[in-house]
Amino acid sequence: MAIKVTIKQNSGTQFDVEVEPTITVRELKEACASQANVPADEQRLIFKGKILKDENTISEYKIEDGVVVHLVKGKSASSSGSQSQASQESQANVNVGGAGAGAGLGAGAGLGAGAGLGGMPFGGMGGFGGFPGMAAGGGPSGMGGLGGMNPAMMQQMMSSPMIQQMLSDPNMLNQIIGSNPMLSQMMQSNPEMRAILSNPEMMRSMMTPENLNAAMSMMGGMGGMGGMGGLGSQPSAFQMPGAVGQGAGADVGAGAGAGAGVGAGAGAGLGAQQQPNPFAAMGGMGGMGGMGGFGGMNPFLMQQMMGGGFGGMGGMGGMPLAQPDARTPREKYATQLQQIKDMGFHDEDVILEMLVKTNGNVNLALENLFSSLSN
Amino acid sequence: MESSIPRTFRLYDELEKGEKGQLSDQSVSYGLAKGEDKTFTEWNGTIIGPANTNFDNRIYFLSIKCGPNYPSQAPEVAFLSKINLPCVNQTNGKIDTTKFAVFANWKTEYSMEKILIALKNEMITHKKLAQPADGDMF
Repeated sequence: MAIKVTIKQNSGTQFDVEVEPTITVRELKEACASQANVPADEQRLIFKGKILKDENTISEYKIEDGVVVHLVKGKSASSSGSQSQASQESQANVNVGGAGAGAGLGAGAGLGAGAGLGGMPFGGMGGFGGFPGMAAGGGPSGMGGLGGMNPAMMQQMMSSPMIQQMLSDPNMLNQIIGSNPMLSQMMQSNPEMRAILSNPEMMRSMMTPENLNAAMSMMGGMGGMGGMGGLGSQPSAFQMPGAVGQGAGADVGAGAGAGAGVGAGAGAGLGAQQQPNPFAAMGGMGGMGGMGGFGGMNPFLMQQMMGGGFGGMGGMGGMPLAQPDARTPREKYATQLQQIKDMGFHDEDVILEMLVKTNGNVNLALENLFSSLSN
Repeated sequence: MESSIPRTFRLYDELEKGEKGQLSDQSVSYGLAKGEDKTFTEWNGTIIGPANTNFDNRIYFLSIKCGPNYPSQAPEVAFLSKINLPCVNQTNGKIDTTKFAVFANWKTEYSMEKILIALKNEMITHKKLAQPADGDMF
């Protein structure tokens, strides 16, 4: 499939060329020669701060549809030899999703609130509601925050067979959800979440040890444990049903998650996106809120942890939008509005106001509605 | 550690601008040095020497290192291509923070684009300065 590359010259002129991604830089130059009015020999092409070498293919430089390459006239012979480490190849697209902040109380009841940080420069589309604590019947002893959890320990924990298995087995998560009436109810009122959790392929791809490890590795140097970072790469394409935040276009492979346990921290995660991916807009699940908190637990007490509650799964990160959402709140939050109305609220204006305030977060909007009622 | 989130967002924003060519000045360019660098630390930059100067039509390579405190703290910037400018250390190519106004008066809202453009303007200011051969590297 041909891609369109915009060529900008320092004279200020620019034009587009359509080329196959498999061609070499040399061939790209030849394709530019007549429009740029510069022979291929005298062209120097610059992309992302690097000069492109004739013999490499443009795909090695991750020149993709829609990118801009700068063309400078000059002698090209020296250009490929003279640059050193400045031009290392392998530029994976690193893209950031939105941010999700999740607060989870890992107590028996399993409360979770999530808030997305919308309004970022790249328009993270708010949170996806808190994924209520996955408290699978634990006692009232909430597991505090992660306090000063150290990344290495976390890594160790994550690589324990039990956690790996849990995370790689969607049924297990489903079971946890199913076993908690409150949670299941929450799931029902949150069809998008449900869809994700009941889609084994999606679950699996988000929960692969690789992804989790990648998420883990970016936590190095973070204060508290914070969010589980974004689960970056989504190597295969999905269709996710659901009205909330269907980000279009923008490639995204990462999320930043801020998790508020007791020992709150902030985790920012990036994932490298392997290939253009329609599902990329998924942001990267925000950050698992900060797995509730594993208080002062020791990594061998998995059992206890499982029982104790999983904290909030944080906000579902941002679903970045390629362009500002021009829809009215009523259109944008139609699903959520209906959900809340189904629960017995009737004043649409008030509901919408809350939804706008909470970026479409049904749970938070409900909380606000309740508290405004009690006042 | 509160700074880590704004830093990432800020750098992501800059990354996107760089990739999509949305910079206000066509003669500067930058991108991540290594795609797998999830910390957004190491960047490449280029400046195309401005016309009618001794830098005319040369391509200058730079390395930019955005530390954990960026953007509250200026990044470390060094020319990889040899260049003769008062603000550039002539032995290692590093920008002398005291002789480069953008660094001396660093503000959080400054960006890599701002730095590169300011360096290009340094070239214009010192357009008559004798320059080493094109292609020489520090």
